[in-house]
This record gives sequence, C-alpha cells and structure tokens, in this order.
Amino acid sequence: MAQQYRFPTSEPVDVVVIGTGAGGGNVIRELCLNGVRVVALEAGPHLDPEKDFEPDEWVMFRKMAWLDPVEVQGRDVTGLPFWLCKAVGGTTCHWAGASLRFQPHEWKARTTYGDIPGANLADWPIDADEMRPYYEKAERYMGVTGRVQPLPPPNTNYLVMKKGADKLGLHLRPGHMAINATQPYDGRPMCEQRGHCFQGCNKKAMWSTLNEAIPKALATGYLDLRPNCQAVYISTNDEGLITGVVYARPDGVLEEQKARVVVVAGNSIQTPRLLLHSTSNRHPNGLANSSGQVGKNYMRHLTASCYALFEKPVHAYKGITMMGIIDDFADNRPERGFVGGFLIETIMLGPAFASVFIQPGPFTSTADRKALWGEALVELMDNYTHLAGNWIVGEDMPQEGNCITLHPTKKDRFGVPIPVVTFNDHPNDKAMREFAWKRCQELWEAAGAWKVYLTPPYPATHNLGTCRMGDNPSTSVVNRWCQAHDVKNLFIADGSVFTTGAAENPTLTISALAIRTAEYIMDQMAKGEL
Amino acid sequence: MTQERLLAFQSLRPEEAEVLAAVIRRIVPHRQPALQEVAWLTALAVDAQAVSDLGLRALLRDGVRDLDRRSRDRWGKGFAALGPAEQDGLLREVEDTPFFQRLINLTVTDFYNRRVVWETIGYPGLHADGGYRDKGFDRLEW
Repeated sequence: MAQQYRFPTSEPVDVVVIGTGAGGGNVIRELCLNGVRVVALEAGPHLDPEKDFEPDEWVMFRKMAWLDPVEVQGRDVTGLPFWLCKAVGGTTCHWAGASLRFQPHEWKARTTYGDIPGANLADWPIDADEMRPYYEKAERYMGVTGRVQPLPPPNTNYLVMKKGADKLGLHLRPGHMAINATQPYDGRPMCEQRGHCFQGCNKKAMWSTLNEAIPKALATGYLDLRPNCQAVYISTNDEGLITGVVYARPDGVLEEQKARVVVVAGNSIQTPRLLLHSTSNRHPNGLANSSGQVGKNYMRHLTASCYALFEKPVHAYKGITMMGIIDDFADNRPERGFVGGFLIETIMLGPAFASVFIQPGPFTSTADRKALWGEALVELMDNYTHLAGNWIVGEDMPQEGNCITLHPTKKDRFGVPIPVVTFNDHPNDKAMREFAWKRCQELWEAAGAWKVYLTPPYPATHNLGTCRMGDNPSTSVVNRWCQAHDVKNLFIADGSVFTTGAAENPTLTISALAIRTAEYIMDQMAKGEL
Repeated sequence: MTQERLLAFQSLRPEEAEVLAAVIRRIVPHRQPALQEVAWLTALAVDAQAVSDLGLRALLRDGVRDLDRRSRDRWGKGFAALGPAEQDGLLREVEDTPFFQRLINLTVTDFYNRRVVWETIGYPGLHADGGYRDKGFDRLEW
C-alpha cells in the first residue's frame, strides 16, 4: 500500500536528514524555518512525553535505548557498550542537560598536548572564535542556564558535595544546563525538580529536540517526519554523488527517498555503520571513506562515578540530576600525570539503577567486574536515602584502533551488518580516571562520608569520533563544514565529526556544529553548489 | 517455605525452585519482613523469564543443581536447608560463574524496581505528583 507522505519519495526532496537527535534535530529546525523541504528518517518511535515518559528507569530504558544486536571487542567495553536512544529526539530524550562550551585550547588538542604515544591526536580545523556565535545561538534555543536563564538552585546532592568542596578549596558551582530551572522558557514550563532527567522529562522543562526543534520544524509545514523508518543504504550515481536513501518503512518494506542533499546524524555508532555499508563502484570502501577513517578514532569520554554514604539523610534523588559542576581539574596540567582535563558533576540514580550500576557486574560493565550482592548490597540499598553521587567526565584519547566496524557475517533484520565496537582505554585515560577517583574520594570524605564507592564507566552515552573533521581529505572524513570530503552533497551532523573529544558534555557542541552546518548547506544551495 | 508455594513455579521443579528462592534471598538479604516476601516474588519473576528463554532455563537449572550438589557434598544437606553463613560461603565459591552473575543481575533488576521496596527503603518514587520543587529538593537537614 502506498504511504501518504508530504513529499513524494520519487522526486528529490531538498534534504533528507537521518536521525533526529541533537545533531539531526538542530539541522532540521534550521532548514525548515528557512523554507527548505526536509524528509527526516528516524529509526525509533515518536513518543509523547506526557503519555509515554514513565517514572520507571527500566521501562524507559527499554522504550528508548538502541537495543539492536551489537558485538564488542577489547578489554574496556561491555556487552552493553553504549546507551543511545532510538526515538524522535534521539539521546536528547535521555541526557541530563549539561551544556558546556569547549575550552579554547581543546580545539587544538594536538598542538596543546603534543605527541602522545598511541594517541591519534589532531587539531580541529575550527576554533573558539569561529564557534562562539553558533554556541550562542544554540544556547538561546536550548535555554541554557547561566547564559540565557538564571542558574539552577542547589539540590541536596549539591549541598552535600559543597561541604567537601569548600573544605578542599574546590569550586562547586551551579552549571550551564538546558533546563528551565527557575522559570518557563520558550513556551516550555518550569522544572518541577522531579529528578527523572534520564527517563525523559515528561514536563518538557528540559530541552530536547523532541520538545523544541522538531515541533518548530513540523509547524513550518516543511518537515516530513517519518518515525520508525530506519535508513539502510545511501544510493549514489556514476559521479559518486548521492541520489537518495533506501530505508525500511515501519512495516519492514524497503523504499527509497530521492534527495538532493543527505545529512547523516545517526550517532557515532550508526553513522559510520551506514556509511561503511553504503558501498558502490565509486565508493568501494564505503561512502566518504577514501581516507579509510570512517569508523576510526571512536571516543566515548573518560568517565567514572563516585558515590558516598553519609550518617544523615541526603535524598539526592530529588531535583535536577546534574546541576552542579566542579571545573578545577578541567584545564590541561600534564604534571598531574595525564594530558587533558575532566569535570566533576552531580549525579544520582534511582534505586533500580543504583543497585545495578554503582558496583556493576560483567553484564553491564567489563568482564573483570563482580556485581554487588548480599550484605554489601543491602548496606548500600538500605542507606539509599543517605547516598550522594557525582560523575567524572573528561577528555579521552582518540586511538585509531578504537573503532566501529561491520560484522563479517551477522546482519540485522534489514540485511545491514551489525556493528562491532572495539575499545581499549589509553594509558592517559587510565591515569586520568585513577586521579579523578582519588579527588572524588577525598571530596566525599571531606564532606563526612563513611563509605565511598568507586564506580566504573556506565554504558557510554558520549559516543564521539568515527568520522572526524579535518582539512586534509587523506586523514579525515569531513571538512570544516561537516561536509564529506569525497561527496559534496553528504553532510554529517552528530558527535562522529569530533576530531577530539574535549572534557565537556558534547550535546551543546553537536548542536552548535549542526546549526552551522545547516547554514552552510543553505548558503551552498543558494549559490547553486548543491 | 511450604511445598504449595513451590508449585507456583513454572520453569523449575519444586526442589530446584526452593534452591533458587534461597539463593535470591541471599542476594538481597534485607532484614525487613516486607522485603523477605518480595524476594519470593522476585524468584517467581526470574522463573517466569525462563519460561520463554530456554538458555536462561538451562543456566538456572544447572546452577541450582550444582549448588545443591556442593551443599550435600560439604554439609550433608541441601542448599536451602543451610544457614546464611554456609549459604554465603558456597555462593562465594561460584561468584564468578555466569550463573551467579546473571542471577544477581536478574534479581536486583526486578527486586529494586518494585514500589514496595522503594517505600521500605524510604524512596518515595514519584507518587508525589508535581516533583520535589516544594518537597525538599533544596533542603538538607544538616
């Protein structure tokens, strides 16, 4: 049966955008507000926050996470290697709202850190000055606190962490969050301090492309949003230019949408997977892969957590999950024993996730981990209301051997090879994690903790690299406009373009880059280049 | 545990179910009476998953039989009849096995996502509509 679409599949639409998360959503909004006709292919469902976002950690995980088959290789990756969302809004349905700009030196990691053995460092071809207006624009859309809205008020988790920070002379401050912490903003209401940021904000007080960019784009009439439609192949012509995208409809039937321009924004796992699978005579190693760099330099940030038990109640699950940040270790001070920096941010999990992730076993962490059980588990969970927590997020080293590849034999139900994620920590990553854990342990002990848990990384939410940006087509996949070196009507708008990761949570930078890319696409269209 | 309750299991035979319930009780050995009852519900939920997941069914069966055999060899009686210290000792011996690590994961995933557990440990969940804006998100009593 023929589908009823706003734009017909057989005529080239101006732009097809694959993915509707931070990258795709921002591109879609910018294009549609300017009258560009867009077909958006989203592999996941279009959820309604008020109806579908339930206050249940496991239910929301099952509703939103990518749970399609994936295989892993390497010491530091698990059977649950990443935690990305497959839904309209992408992982902005699950994030915590931290919206931080890169520090200026982080755009120039190779120059700043020098030659680190085993690391494939490079400088971004752009810098802080270039990005400032795009950061500002993204911050206005997202309603970032401390930029265009007042800073969030402290919650109890913050107040406990502050006791320790003050004693140690560290600077814990309310952070830049894309949350309407103190007032309504842009037609979305004020935060109710429910503390379920990770389960999707059912009040829409936290920014997501589901709540902001997509509704604005739909209102223009220029967006044809197709949820539950997974892209499986990008078609090209004899000149090597893109002509359309083959995708699986909700009923599983494959059809092709013709396009003038394609923007891939499927995240750092699915974007390289789609490109590597889209081989042709002109692109024998995969689309945009003449450099061989598609899928390489996979990064996921240096992460870890630290939780602590106190004699007196904390009730850290109340309020904005991530609202306070310590940035004393964000700068580059190689005398610490590693290059790059990290941030310490408040975090808390509900009881269901706390019991699994604070001391995880091999099913959600690495093979050498043993899950908490028995009296030790009871000690933690009976004291759940007395628990405080923080998260460590820092720059990890890009390594060519950390990568996304296609499985040689296993395919998904649409015939696309499943992704294989290979990851090993760099010695710099390990050194930073050990240092950061020590600082967090001191922090909680200074605050009066009687027990501290050093928690290894959760499944990765900050998936970066794999289609890195650079000026040199032989060592990078996209140019400074996120345009593929090899294919001028192909753009990438997600974390995969990151040349290096920086210490900061990546969503704001992905959003700012996407806005900039959309502007460039429209400029090139106006000039007849696309 | 009465024999009748053990007949409620679908995947495991009563003698296997008794061991499974005893192991789960040691994974979440809370002393609050309400939570001891929940451990039983979790055992039923784990068993129910093994109805359609045949791999899990085999893993659980082999795992509980192995534990019971170890118990009879060591103590001359079944695992379920042992005291907590002896049970924990045997569980530490099998701690690294896929059986036990998987069972921990299945147990805590079910057990700590139940409202009765939340209430008992003092977590209000989101019963209170309207969030914690006026319910102490910013009030630390110390």
